[in-house]
Amino acid sequence: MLHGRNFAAVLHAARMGDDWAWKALYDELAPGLLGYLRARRAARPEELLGEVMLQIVRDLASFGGGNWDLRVWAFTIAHNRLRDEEARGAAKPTEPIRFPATAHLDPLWAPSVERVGRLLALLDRDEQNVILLRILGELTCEEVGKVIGEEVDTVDALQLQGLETLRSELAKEVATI
Amino acid sequence: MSSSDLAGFLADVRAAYLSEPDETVASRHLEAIAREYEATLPRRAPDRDWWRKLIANRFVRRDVTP
Repeated sequence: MLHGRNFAAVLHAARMGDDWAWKALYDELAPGLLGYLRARRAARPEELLGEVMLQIVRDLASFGGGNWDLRVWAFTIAHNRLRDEEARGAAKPTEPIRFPATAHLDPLWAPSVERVGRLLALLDRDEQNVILLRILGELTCEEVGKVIGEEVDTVDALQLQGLETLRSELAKEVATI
Repeated sequence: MSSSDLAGFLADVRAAYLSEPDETVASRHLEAIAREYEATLPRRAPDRDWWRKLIANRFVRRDVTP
């Protein structure tokens, strides 16, 4: 995490406005946040990522905690922004999945990405949130519970249901080959 | 990279979505972060004129001057 830098030192430097510290925090958080926003089909994932980071800048003075607390906080902001977007009807769940920028470079990559999106779309929204926060956010069930505002038992149950759906769909794929 | 087992599929999820933002996007974000910081959390640079302000403060001056 943070390429071996001491988190407290990075946090202190960020609070003092040092650019290197903000870059370190951005590099740490951005890939997972962007992945989550893309996978949850945000209308403009890059813009939303920018908004999440600006919210962190605005509220960092009141933040207290360690590296993983920051991660949980960042994903909570992202999750809430997605919910706001969905409430406004800005998210477009019927649109084809957005491929990562690198996907266009390799024609062999796109079908796999499309398959991932198709299988994830079989999960309901809560199951998707749990699976994606676990995989892309690298969060524990307890941390996911903090992000989505659910008890850890509920998160466990959603994860189990989601994984069972995926397992069953993957078995069907094998059967049809 | 197509995987039929669950662990392989979850690895595919990471591979499909986890990537660093485009360089131009990242630099735009970092510029916006710097601007937002300046707007919301003014740099706490040491005030070199603190002693002059202290002497000019009439409430303090009453106590420190004979």
